[in-house]
This record gives sequence, structure tokens and C-alpha cells, in this order.
Amino acid sequence: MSKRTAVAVTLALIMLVGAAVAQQTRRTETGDITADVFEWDLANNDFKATGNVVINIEGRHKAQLRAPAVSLDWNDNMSRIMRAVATGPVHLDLLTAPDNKGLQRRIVATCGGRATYEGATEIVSLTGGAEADVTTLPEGNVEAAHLKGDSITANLRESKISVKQAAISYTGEDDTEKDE
Amino acid sequence: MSRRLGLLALLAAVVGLVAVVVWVILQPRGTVETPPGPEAEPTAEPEHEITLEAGPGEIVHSDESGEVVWSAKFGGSITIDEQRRHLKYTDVVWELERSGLTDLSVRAPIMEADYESRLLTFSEGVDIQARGGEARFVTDELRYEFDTEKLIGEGEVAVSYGGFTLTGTKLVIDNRAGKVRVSNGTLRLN
Repeated sequence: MSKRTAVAVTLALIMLVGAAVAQQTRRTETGDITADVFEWDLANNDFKATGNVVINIEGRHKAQLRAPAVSLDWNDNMSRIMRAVATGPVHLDLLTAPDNKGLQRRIVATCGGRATYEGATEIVSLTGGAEADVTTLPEGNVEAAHLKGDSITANLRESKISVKQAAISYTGEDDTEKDE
Repeated sequence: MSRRLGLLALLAAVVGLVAVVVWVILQPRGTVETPPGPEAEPTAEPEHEITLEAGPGEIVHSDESGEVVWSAKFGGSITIDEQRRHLKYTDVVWELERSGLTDLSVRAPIMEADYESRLLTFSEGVDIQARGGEARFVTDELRYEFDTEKLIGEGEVAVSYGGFTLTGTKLVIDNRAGKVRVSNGTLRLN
């Protein structure tokens, strides 16, 4: 039997989705980026993609980010993206790696401000009117949540998501409120 | 007049004509200096064209102030079209000399210089290199605009450097801005 609860929280709040799986992700991701225009400033390695930008990352987790514009910071020899900053409206579709029960979380998040991906930590932060729907796969699992806040942060490496200044709706199989 | 004298006179007239044509074509917009190469051998062409097996040689292009903008080494022939003020070089390595992307070079089987439209066109497989050869740009055809100092490639273009390959439908290398732009692009992380 499911129970739906809506909670509004005014201060910073952190919510963990799933059982804090904390799985380490090997660096086996591959990715591609499509855009109407790429611009590379050779003097300082500024790299910008503009117009219908779509970033696809595939590894243990799969992520797709869509935005009007994304700037990329590379390491010195441009062999690795250190940071990506997307300016809004940003749409993120993320499927996390399976946990030890074989469950995956699908996170569909949007924001009107900007989204930042940090390559070193594999953390995606969405700021400015951020919202996210979290569902659990395989389909049929009733655990789900809707998050709304100033910012939403997804840690791809640890399969965690946190929300600040949040309003949260949660749907689960037990009767306990998930409002901590 | 003996037959030998006649041949010598004819050869002198051809060499003089070539020199005048090259000078007339190149003088009005920029200066080109071509160092002496092996003896020119004119071949049969339409009346307004002259082909010289002139390579290896070098052409240097300067702006009105005398500053060198670009240079090109060619290993094959030069075809001169005096009516169109058009020159065609084969086996070319072209380099930007003026500040900007100074380590950028273009290798192409064909380079055509059109002094009416102020364009260079590279074709038949163009290989562009920068950053000591580590950055590669590939396009079927490339043009260089004298006035904007932009190299523009259209069709299937590719850029590779470091850990990525970027493909697209148009490549613009802007020497003045020091920027590379690729349209309708897909960037793949290697």
C-alpha cells in the first residue's frame, strides 16, 4: 500500500534517494556532444557549444543533458573534460548504475538557471528553479519522488541526489514519511 | 637570321612574357616574391594559360605595408591564367606568417590563387595542422579569404586534438580572432 506525502522545507535539506549504494564508478565512460556550433579559442582553450546542445555520457550510468549552450573546461592537453557548464533551460535525463539489488534510478531533472558537471567528482548540479522526478527501475517498483528546489545535485559516482530549499513528494511502499 | 637565333629569340620572348604576366597579375594587391627555381618549361595550354614546371619554389604574400602575411612552398607546377588573374600551384605547403595562428600549416595537392576575388583555394585532400602537428583539421576543400584572414572548409570536416574528435559540415579558422568554429558538429571523446 502506498502513501503520498508532500513536505515543504525552507532550509537546506538533503535527501538520499535509494539505499546510499555508493558504488564506485570506473572511468570507462564514453561520450559525445552535438551542437549547432562549436567554438574553440586556441589561445586559452575555451571551448563552447551553442544551439541545441546534447551531451550523452555512457558508462555504468547513462546521462543525457540538453541545453542551449554549454562551455567546456579541459585539462592542459585537452584529453579530458574537467568541467562543463550548461546555461538554461537545462534538461537532464540520468539513469544510475544498478545497486546491489539490481535497482536503478531514473532521474529526469530540469532547471531554468544553469547546470554544472564536475569531471573530477562526477557531480551534476542544477540551479535556478530545479525540479526532478526520480523513479526506480525495473518498472513496477513504486518507489518514486518529485523534488523541487533552488538547486538539485546528483552525484553520479555515488548514486546520490540532494536538494536545497526543497519541496518533496515521495511515493513508497511503506507508511513512513520520507521527510527528513 | 639563323634557325638557332630564331629559337633563342622565341625562348627569350616566352620567358619575358611569363615574367610580365606574373608581375601584372600580382602587383595590384599585395606582393609576391618567387625565388628562382629550375628553368621554366612552358607546355601547351589554352592561349590565356601558361603552365610552368617550376617547383620546388616558394611564394610569399605581403600586405600593403610590406608585412608578410603568408607563404607557400610548392613542389610541382604553376599554371597562370592571365585573363582571370588566377594562378594554380601543385604540391603545396602553405603557412600563415602574421601573428595569430602562426604554427598553422596547410598541405594540399592543389592551391589556386585568385587575385580578383582575393581568395586562395586548396583542394583534392586538405590537411591542416597546428600546435606542432598535434591538432589536425581535415576537409575536402578549403578557401582562404585575404581580407578576413579566415580559412573556411565546407562539406565533411573534422578536427582532432587531445582526447576528442569533432566532425561537422563547416569549419572556420579565424586567424585574427584565434578561434576555430565547427557547424553542425559532433564531438566524440576518445
